[in-house]
Amino acid sequence: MKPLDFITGEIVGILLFFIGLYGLMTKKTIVKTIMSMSIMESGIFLFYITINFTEGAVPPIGQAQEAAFVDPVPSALMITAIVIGIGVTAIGLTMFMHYKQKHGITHWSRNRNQTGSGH
Amino acid sequence: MAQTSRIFHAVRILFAVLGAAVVLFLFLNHSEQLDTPLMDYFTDDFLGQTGAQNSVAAIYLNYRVFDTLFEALMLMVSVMEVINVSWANKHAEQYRFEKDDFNRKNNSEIVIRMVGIIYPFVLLIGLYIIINGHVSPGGGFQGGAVLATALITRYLVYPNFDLDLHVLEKLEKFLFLSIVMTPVLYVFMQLQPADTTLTNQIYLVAMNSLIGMKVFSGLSIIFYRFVFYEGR
Amino acid sequence: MFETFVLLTLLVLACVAVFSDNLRRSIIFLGAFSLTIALAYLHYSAPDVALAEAAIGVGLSTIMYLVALKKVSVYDICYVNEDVEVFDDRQINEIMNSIVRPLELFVERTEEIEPQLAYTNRSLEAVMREDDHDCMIHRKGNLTYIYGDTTDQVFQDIVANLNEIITDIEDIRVIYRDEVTLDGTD
Repeated sequence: MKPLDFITGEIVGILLFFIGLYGLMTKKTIVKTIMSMSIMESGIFLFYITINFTEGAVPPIGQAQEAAFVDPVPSALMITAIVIGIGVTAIGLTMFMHYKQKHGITHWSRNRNQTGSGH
Repeated sequence: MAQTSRIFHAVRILFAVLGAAVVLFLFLNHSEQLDTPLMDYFTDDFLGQTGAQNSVAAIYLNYRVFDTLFEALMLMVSVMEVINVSWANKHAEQYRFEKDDFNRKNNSEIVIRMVGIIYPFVLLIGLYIIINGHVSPGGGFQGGAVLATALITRYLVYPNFDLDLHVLEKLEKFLFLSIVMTPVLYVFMQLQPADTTLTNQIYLVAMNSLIGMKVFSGLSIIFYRFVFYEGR
Repeated sequence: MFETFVLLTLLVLACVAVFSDNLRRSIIFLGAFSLTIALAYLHYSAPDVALAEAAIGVGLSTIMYLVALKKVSVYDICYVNEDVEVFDDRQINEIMNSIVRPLELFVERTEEIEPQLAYTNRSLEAVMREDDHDCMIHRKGNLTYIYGDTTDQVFQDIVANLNEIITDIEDIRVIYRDEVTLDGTD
């Protein structure tokens, strides 16, 4: 088995999920955290889309019977998930801007404001 | 302090790598073959049963219409959350956008001219995606998002606040009610004049248009709230 | 082959978007990531999802991130004075007009990024070791030091225009953190 055969859609989806998880754990900027969350979401979408994909399948449109249809269920689920994902991103960015405006926070930092800060 | 933070950093890297390794190991050593009864049922005769030529549209508008209802609910909840957070410590009327004189110097001439050329085509392709959602790739969600993008390009050229957001908010709530009522009456209670392909297609086009308008108004409200009420 | 190329591009773009330090750059890489993943969906015969991702991920969310970032481009300035017991409004007002406000205005107007200020009375070494500020102003007795990096373009501009920014104080010393070790500055 060649090493390039390991690069399939499911494996890349799992790797994207963990890249996003790593960014969520280590990055201190709030915007970066929201971006990591959307990368995690994209990994899950890719995993779902490719989980039942066979080579040479056609999109499930029309009545063409010479080739097999691809599974339409994950597509229908993921369309709704993408629209919900933009809602999550919008809520996150709105709360981030609200915190920035009200408390001046842009980082998840524990060190600041410990002793004698007047800001 | 720096020592402990470095240890924490190493622990986080280790956690991510270990998690990826465990999940990949489980995934690669998993050999259970599952049947796909849902896929067989949904791709068997969707044109005859629902009148849609696009199986995905048949699923989210007829077979699994509950998904669409709760997705619309989620979008409305996120719009309400954005409005609520941006109102948290101020009155709405106080933060009306002051009308500036239209200043052409701040905007790039290239962007203005190109957006003027592209704008009608973006609107056209959005409407096309909505109307033809049941026979080709597309549908309400995608077309609504494209229409909202057209409104955002308008913001790039003319960044003034002359939209009445209250009308859009009321429209969104009314559209949500319609989106809930139409499948309940048509699919669940079977209150249809005749069970032919024509009535099914009329139902699909109507639902796609409603969802498209709902997504368009929801995303536009989020964006304009975002731009004009926050951080000023 | 095409599939492998697209998937490897996805991994590289996700890594760059997460690990990059510049927020603006990583937002653009996230947009490129969304475009590539839309291509991958198209390859996997899901044109509906590809259309949704192309419209929402590339168009809407990139513009939303950029709008959010436009409000909050942050340049992190820390004011250190170890002699003050507690920073209250009177203390801040004293230094406000001489140093902080002109610097803030310069960073806002000329560099078009938003300054973020923090005041502290901890020791300079502790602040340098634990926090990562872009620029630090250290007041020690009658002397004023400004600490920054040579690689920081904004700090270079501040140093170049220091005489025009801060007119009240004549004697300001500029110290580059990456050229001078901490012990030599005492």
